[in-house]
Amino acid sequence: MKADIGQPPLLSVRGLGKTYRVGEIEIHALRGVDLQVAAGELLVLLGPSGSGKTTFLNILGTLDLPSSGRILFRGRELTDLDERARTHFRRHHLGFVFQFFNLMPSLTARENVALVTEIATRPMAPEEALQMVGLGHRLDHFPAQLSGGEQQRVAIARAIAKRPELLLCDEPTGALDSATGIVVLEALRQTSREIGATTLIVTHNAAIAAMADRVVRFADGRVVSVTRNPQPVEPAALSW
Amino acid sequence: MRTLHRKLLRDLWRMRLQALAIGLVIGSGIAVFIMMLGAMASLEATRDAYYAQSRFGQLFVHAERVPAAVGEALERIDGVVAAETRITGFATLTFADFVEPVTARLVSVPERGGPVLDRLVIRQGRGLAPDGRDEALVNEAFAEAHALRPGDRILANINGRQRRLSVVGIALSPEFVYAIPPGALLPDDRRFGVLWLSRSTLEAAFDLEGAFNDAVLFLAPAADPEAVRAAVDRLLEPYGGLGAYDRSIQVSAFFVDNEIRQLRTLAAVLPSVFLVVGAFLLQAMCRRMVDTEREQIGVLKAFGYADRTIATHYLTLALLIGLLGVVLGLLAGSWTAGRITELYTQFFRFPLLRYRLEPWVYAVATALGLLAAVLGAWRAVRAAGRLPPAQAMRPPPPPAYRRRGVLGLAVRGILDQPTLMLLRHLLRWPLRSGLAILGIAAALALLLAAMQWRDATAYLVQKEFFEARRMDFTVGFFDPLAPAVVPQMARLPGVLRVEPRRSLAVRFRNGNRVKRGSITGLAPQGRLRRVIDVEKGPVLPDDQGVLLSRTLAAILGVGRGGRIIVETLEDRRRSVELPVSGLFSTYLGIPAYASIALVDRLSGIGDRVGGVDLTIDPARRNAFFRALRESPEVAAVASREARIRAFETTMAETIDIVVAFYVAFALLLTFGTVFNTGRIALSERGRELASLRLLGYSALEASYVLVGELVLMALLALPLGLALGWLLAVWIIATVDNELFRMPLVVFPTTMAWALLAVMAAALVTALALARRVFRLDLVAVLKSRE
Ligand SMILES: Nc1ncnc2c1ncn2[C@@H]1O[C@H](COP(=O)(O)OP(=O)(O)O)[C@@H](O)[C@H]1O
Ligand SMILES: [Mg+2]
Repeated sequence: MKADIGQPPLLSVRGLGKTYRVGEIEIHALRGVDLQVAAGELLVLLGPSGSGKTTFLNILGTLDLPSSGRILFRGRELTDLDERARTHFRRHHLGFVFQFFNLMPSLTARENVALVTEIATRPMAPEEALQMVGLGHRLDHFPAQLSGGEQQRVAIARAIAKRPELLLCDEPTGALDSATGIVVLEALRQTSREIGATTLIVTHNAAIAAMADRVVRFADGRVVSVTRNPQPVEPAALSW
Repeated sequence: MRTLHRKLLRDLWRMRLQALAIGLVIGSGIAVFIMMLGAMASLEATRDAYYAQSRFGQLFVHAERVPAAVGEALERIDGVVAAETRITGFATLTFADFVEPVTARLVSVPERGGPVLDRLVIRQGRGLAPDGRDEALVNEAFAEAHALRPGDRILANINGRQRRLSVVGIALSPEFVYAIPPGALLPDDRRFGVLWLSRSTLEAAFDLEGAFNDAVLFLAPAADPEAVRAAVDRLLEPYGGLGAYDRSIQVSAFFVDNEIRQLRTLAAVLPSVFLVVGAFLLQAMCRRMVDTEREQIGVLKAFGYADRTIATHYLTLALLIGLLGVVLGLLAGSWTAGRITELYTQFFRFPLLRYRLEPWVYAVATALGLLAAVLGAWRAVRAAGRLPPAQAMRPPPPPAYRRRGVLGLAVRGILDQPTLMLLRHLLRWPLRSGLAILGIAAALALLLAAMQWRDATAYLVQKEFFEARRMDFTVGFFDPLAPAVVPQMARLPGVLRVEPRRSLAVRFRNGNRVKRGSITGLAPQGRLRRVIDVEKGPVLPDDQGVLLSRTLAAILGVGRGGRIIVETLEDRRRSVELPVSGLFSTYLGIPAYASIALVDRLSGIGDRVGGVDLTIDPARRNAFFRALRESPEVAAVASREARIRAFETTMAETIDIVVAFYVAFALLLTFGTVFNTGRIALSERGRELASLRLLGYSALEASYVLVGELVLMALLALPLGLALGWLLAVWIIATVDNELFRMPLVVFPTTMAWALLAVMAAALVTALALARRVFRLDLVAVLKSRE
């Protein structure tokens, strides 16, 4: 547990709401979410499909704008940023991992990572990042030549290579079988720890919650509970 | 950013065929542009340089007999810098190895120093010697046709006297860049030549000692040509002046200018067809690309790539395709422009006509190609830039197909499901389908407009040289002769029928509309030269009025039954008011006809015959030719058959080549459009088609969904293409509407059938080539991946 008393939280979310309008219908994806995240924490956001987890993560990542509420990152208002500033914020502070990996099919593993390191300020070498996820031997393979788990590890390498402060992962194991999923989570846990990134993992898989410092439960666009894990386990010990 | 560039190049390589197809379409546009404008610019630059170097006159005038002293008065006219007076006429030539009659135009050259205006370029041999009696220079095309070289001799009948001329040199003149026999449209270098003889030789031959009958004037830049012309006409009026005219209707200059004008108009319109279609294809491709890569775009944005960077990424891709088109177009265009310019050297005799790379043409072509690419890609590029990342990361909703009226109800149970699928897809993107149909239609239109030239020429030959003219030969005399010449000609060996003809130079006047021209008087019961009225069919000229060609009537603003004033410019000058007894259509010149009796009356000097039309017994051709050579009164002979052959040769040697280029470009357009549309459909429907296979459809049945859609589009494009082709042809034909000739608008059914077949075949072959990919679909991959 690293959230020391007195130190301001890395991330502070207040009353976050998001309403989608589809024709006549209004969909309340988020209905007022409050959350504080301390630097270096690993959070698992747990909730059934459709509960608003992805929406929440996207807004944190400035990929989407909230309908109401505020987000403070190191005390800075994220919701007020213009497009330029949002791009800058993502470029220098954020790492993303997606459910479907979202690698560039036309680029090799190394190039997929380089795509991000090239525009970062103090990145590690793409090779180093791939080494960290155990893919040092797969540098020049194209996504189509990699298994799902390997692709997701490339995505993790891509996300951590720029040493982001905040790592946002949306269902990183959602498209993988459990054994592969665990390997991926190990890579994620180890690398995020190594670079000291604050990490948010969104999942509907309750088994993953055990590796978190804190577990945030979502339902129907709200945070229904936040529980602290006294003893987070290593991903290798998980099973589902 | 280097990695992003790498993605760009790999994407481009993956889509290389599609990129190539679009590149070919844009490239065709660039190539056509360069082909037309490059040839135009070369021709124009050569023309301007040559005219300036050789001091080509700006005003020309012919008269009967003008005392030499008047020549100085011509130079004193305000605005005239120099006047070249000379003697011109016609002669018939005899060659030992060429039995047919040969006509030559004669032009005098001053005894000393050569002409000041319309200077000659000596290509071989030398100029005329100061005392060069019976020395001659011949024009290059004629020399080539008869393999004449300096030192050769020519037997000429000049004004009734046989002279043996010796060729001392081969020359070019700005007056005869396009050297055609009188009244013809195309050169006939074996039967028509230009001979330059010394002034004294021609003075003696035409009994014009101390006089001239022709003048060329060079004007000061600030001169008012109209004022000079009026002054010249006033000055020469007493000496049988036929009225001065400027360079715009000097025959050779007219044809050169006409060609340049036409190239320029075509260059403004035809390439844009390709560029617009290319831009549309690029737009569809980029759109599809941004759609399929939306998640990639989302990721890039999530990792901090700016919107502008993403937009630039796709714009660069489009620009690279545009650049590919530009490069292909510049290469193909330079080559075809070179070939076209080479074709022009067969007609236009300049000292040096070579395809010259004009930098501005290339710069404009490049700019046009890239502009097409940018405009084409613009919407997709903007969409990529603006795509909100969160939305990009979510899969797009499945395309919303609709059961449109007809397809929803009436045809249920009639159409099978695959057919329904292809129809729905076609209707799902009406704009894209519409543009694809338009692209194919544009290809067909181009094909028709290009192939139409053959038909137009064939039709013109049919109308003018088979229906309106039925003589075998047209003979002109040095001077109008007494009617007794007609039976005399009839007695020549092989002659079957002779009809007299007499032309009178006149000025037509209707109110303040004035036009210089001539009236040709025809035999009362003539059958060899028919005047065909558009409304009444063939008409015989009467003794009361004149028959005007429609173009002439339009210039004068008069219709059938109207009245015009005819001022004769030859013999006894007089001014007579005559009724217009009929109008007729012709594609050649702006003639007027009357009965020979009326023309005799107008001339005021009694019955004369200026020439005859005749038919002969083909078996006795050679005897007829020999007899003709011995007829001293014959100044010029034209063979109808030779004119027809000139059309056919031109067709085979030039028009067909140009048409072939267009056919090639039009087929590329079809291929490019069908390939791209098909490729995009395949990318959108790969899943569906694979699913069909999983459901037990054969690859052939599945590919029907794709091929059927493309073929249906091509079929829909056909009527539209016919209509557009018609419009394009109307427009192209309208660009050749002038006093010397016009082109008919006709498309023969066979031409139409060939054009339709060619487009359908190109579309079908392309569709089938794409269908092969349906056979290679990876069914398992489809199940795994999500759209
Ligand atoms: N772009 C959108 N337009 C309309 N509704 C949306 C959009 N994105 C998400 N939603 C809706 O918002 C709700 C929350 O979605 P999401 O955040 O994806 O949930 P989760 O990630 O927890 O499954 C769902 O009902 C979803 O359908
Ligand atoms: Mg989700």
